[in-house]
Amino acid sequence: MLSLRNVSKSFRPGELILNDISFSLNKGEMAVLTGASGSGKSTILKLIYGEERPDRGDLILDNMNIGALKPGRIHLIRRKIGVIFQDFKLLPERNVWDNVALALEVVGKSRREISTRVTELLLLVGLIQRKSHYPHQLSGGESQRVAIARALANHPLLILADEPSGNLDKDNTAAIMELLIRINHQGCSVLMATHNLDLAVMLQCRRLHLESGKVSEAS
Amino acid sequence: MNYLLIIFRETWRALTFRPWSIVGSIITVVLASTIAGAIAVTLLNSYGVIESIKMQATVDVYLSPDIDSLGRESVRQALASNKYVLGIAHVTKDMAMFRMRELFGPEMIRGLGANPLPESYEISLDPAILDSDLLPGLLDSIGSIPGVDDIGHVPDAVARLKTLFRTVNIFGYCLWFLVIISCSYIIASTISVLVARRHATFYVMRLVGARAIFVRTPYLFVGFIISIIGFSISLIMLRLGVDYLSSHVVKIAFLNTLEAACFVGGGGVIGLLGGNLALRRYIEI
Repeated sequence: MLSLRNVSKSFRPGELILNDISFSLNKGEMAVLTGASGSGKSTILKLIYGEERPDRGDLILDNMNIGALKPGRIHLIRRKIGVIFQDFKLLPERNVWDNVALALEVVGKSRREISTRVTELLLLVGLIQRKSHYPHQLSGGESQRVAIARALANHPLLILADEPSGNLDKDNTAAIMELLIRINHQGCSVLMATHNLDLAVMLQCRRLHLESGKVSEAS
Repeated sequence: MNYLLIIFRETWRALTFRPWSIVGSIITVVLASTIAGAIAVTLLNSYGVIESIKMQATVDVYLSPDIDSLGRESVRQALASNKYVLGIAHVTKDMAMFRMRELFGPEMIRGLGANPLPESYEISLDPAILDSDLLPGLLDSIGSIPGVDDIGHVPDAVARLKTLFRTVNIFGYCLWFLVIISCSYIIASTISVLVARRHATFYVMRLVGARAIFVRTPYLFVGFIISIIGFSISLIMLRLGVDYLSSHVVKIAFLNTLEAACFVGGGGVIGLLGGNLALRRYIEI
């Protein structure tokens, strides 16, 4: 489903942050990408959701070569991916409902479809009672659950999570991990980048380790 | 349909996000477009003035002091046979003096003694020839008719006015160009401020799969709306000004409906240009 083949990326000449890396992720698979800060975990995720382009190599998602997509067609790949960030990236001027609905509005869903899907998602993340709250009225854990609901809105093939528990306490981290596992069990692939090895242990899934620009399978 | 509603909603959000920026931008567009409109009205009226002067333009053909009635008639026939001469009026020495008295007052001509003014024929020419290269040749041929002493050449004034208005024209087009550039930049600056403040929103919209056009269109609409409002207000102000001057000072022609629509529509295009400039230059979506 997701395949990276001989991907290299540098931001400065002669300084490869990713050096000829290859790995793949099957449909419904969950994997954790570990590595020290600055090792290139976020860069891999950015390459997958098209914010950065590889210098070399292919990134294939659902038979689509992400690196070869023209900027005007990048939305096609983003509709197949849900992205979750450490800082949630919720829009402060929109309430919980509208933040989730945004992902459906931009792909042209009807009001009825939006209403049905947003209700489903807020029930899934347990925030239906807080649908009229604004981001500043939510806790970190609640904000991240809204971000997850938004990421799931368009039935993505893959969820990319970039340090999703970085701003959360232990209990909220556990709740978010539980939610990601539940999403994965529903058939959605998950790739999570984290520097926290405990999380990788908690999730009991495949672990990819990134070091010196190379990725390796870790136990 | 849903897309359109959302684009209109986002346009409204953008317009109301920093309303005073929008108001400031509209006021500046009003000022710039009023200059542009005033130039358009001036140019429009300059053509009218030239046409009017051309219609009234006459050439004074002064006759020799010693000309007799036979010679006078011979000159008249020679003038009448010229196809570009549309009318001939005889002005006697007494009539010329009367006109001079009317023009300068009796005090000015008291010291002249005997009437020194020559008699003349006042001829009106085909307006078409006043613009053409044939005019100098025609005047030379009239000047060489036996019995003609000199020619008073009013069409010179037409030529001078045409040069003046041509200069005004060029100046006007330069100003128009500057107005287009300045309005575009005013609108681009306003939109870039709005865009900078909502950059996070765009990022999230793109992240969840919005097409670039979906993010851009509301801001193109913002530019269009600022410009249309600005140009419409300036058109109304110019109309009121022209009406006031027409009723109190001098009659001035105003833009007809089509020209007014082009003026406001052109403003809309400038707005789209400004919006596009901001989106292309200040953000990469």
